[in-house]
Amino acid sequence: MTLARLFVLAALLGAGSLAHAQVLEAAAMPAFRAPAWQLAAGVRTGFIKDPGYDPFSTNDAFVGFSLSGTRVVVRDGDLSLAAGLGLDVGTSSASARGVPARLSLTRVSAVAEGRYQPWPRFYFFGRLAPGLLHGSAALDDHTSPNGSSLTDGFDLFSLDAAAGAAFCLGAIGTARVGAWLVADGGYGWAPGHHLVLSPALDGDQSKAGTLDLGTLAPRGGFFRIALALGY
Amino acid sequence: MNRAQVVFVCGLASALLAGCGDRNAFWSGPIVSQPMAFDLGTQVAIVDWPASRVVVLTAGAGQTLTTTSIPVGANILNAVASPDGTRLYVVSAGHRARLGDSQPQQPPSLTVIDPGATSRRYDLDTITEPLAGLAVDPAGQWAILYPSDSNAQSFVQNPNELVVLDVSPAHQPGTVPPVTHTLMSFGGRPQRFTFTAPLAAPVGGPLLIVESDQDVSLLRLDDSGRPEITVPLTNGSDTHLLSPAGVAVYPGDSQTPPLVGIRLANDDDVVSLQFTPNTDAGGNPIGNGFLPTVNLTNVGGVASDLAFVRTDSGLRLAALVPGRSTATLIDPVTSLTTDVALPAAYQQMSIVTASVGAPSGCATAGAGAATPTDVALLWNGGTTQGQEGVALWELGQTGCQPFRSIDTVGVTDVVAGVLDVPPPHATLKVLQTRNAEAFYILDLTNRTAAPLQTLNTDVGLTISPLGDQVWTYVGETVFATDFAHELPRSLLIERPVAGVYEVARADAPTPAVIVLHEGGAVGATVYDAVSLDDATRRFYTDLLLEGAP
Repeated sequence: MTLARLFVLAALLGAGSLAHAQVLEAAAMPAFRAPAWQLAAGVRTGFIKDPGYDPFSTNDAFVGFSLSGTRVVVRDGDLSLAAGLGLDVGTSSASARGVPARLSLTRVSAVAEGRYQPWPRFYFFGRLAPGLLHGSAALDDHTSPNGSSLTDGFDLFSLDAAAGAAFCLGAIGTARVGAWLVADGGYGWAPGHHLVLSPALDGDQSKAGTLDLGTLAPRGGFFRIALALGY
Repeated sequence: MNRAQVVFVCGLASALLAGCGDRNAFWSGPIVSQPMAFDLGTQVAIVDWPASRVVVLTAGAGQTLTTTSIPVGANILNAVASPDGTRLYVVSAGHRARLGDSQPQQPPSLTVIDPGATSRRYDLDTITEPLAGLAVDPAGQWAILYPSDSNAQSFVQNPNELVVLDVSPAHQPGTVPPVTHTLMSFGGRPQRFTFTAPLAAPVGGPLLIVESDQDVSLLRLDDSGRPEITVPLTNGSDTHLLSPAGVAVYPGDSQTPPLVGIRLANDDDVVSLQFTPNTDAGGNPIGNGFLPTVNLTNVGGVASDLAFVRTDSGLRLAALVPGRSTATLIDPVTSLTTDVALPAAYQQMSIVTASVGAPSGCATAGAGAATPTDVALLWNGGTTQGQEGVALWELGQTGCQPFRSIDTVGVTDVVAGVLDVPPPHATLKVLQTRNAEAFYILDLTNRTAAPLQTLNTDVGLTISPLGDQVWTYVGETVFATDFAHELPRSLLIERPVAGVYEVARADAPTPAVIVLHEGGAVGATVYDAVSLDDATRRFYTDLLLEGAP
């Protein structure tokens, strides 16, 4: 095992540091290599089993849009380490005993992704993504004061751990840009938040009673499927 | 697509399907538009039928409102507050689990919700078909379940089936099994239940009086081994069956045995029951140990109300006969009658002796003055024009005219109901009208009735448990009128009102008033009931969304 390979493995374990990408000689077309730059957009479906999620969905699924951009920072043979940013945005709504309820979750995360490419056009990866989860819960009740919604917003630390695979569908335009189908699954963790909703009454806020919906723990398993452009 | 791709796509689809779970059925259930609500003195209980629970609202300092969810048996059938308003009784049908049913088997049950104690659920394992009718003992010991005409019933039912439950706090669920009792029937079915106070000898205990549509049954609840006594009602002159329409009970004392008066819906007679001992030669009780003696007294018309009253001549059974604009006093021993002409055709009567503060009596009389006598309030209880007003009937001697002192009070509307006021204003009554834009505060001491005009008819009225004010509400309007000054003050309510409930607070010296809103998931405005300060009120919404199981 070379020194560089040891370095990549160490980075995959979280001890690595950002470094310049090294050039990997590969027999395959450039588009089929594990891309140095990758921009992925897709659908992330999470499964929140927590009962605090029940007012906002008729099932446990939370579907959202997922966007991520990564760049390979270390490469050694068929191993590489990429770093980047991720953004997940989604809203779920349902009727909570006849009252329209909705929950929006926005997650911004830093992405560290280790890749292993055993074959051309295909690689496995593992991803760790610590981030910030912003949530907003709302109930639209026409009987509330001034007919306004009852809302609660919160910010929580979050951590995603996932593993997946990517398959190159083919080259686009030039031989260096590849279209990839990326799929991964894992667990997204966030601490619980006590949902206390209240209407916005400005100066009369003290006259507004609150609605206690209990604790919402927006965590659970998820999977994501995305299309990515790799360069 | 090669084999690896097929495996990948199938795995993805499996993950999609496997992860979706159902949510708690609570959130998919509806909320009834106007759920039943009860003032339990320190809390307001809202019956959340679809969720099989009772939500209890507790007011705290600063007009805060906390909700507590109390689960009851599945499929609520009926809810009744105790006569003193301190407890709530909820009857549930339970659930019969089919094969593969995810909801577990649950028998019919009765849940007692007592703000001062943990709720108690009594499972009725002895019956499969739920009984929706519920009658509650004022003493808080007994609850009677019976088939009800109004709620869903089984394909085959026995209308005379009763389930008797001892629900006193001393008897926790499971310690005393429910007793199933079938009334001996001559073809009738139970209509009303009256729990008596403990009766003097020879009865020697409380009775349950069951009025069917053609007879009356008497049961000793404290001894389920004793058979009931059923008294068929006929007038003796023909075969048509008489229907009881209400009873009055005198519990008896050291000189007078207990008495029961029964008015009839379809006859001019009034039935009185006297009780005689039923013992063998050795003095041992036979059966119940007593037998009723039936007396029929013709009062010249169908009696609309009945009460035992104390007069200067002794105990009498007073019957109002609106068809003749008279009241008839019946001597329960001799059945002799005395008619008293009334200035109007009064239909309802309340004994207000305790409210007046002292029994009436002839101040100048000798022996008669020592006998406490009653004062009755007469009113109409209907909506018929020409039957306006109320009257106070002195049953002692005033000016030494026995039974003749009837003072009318200047009320110009038909009085539909009389509401009692607790101390310190127990000498007041609130007179509720129907089809009239007014209500009255009647002072029994000086016999005046202060009118309070409203912009609407059929306003809701609630008396403060502190006895200091009356709440009036309709639409989005709530007023409090204090009895000391008869000064109406309004609350600022921004939603249609479903009910007004004044409750005591453990952490505040003054009570709070909880105004429940109509619509949505039930909201409320909470005020300090004494200051009525708009600045400190609080507005709550969606109370029935809290406390999901």
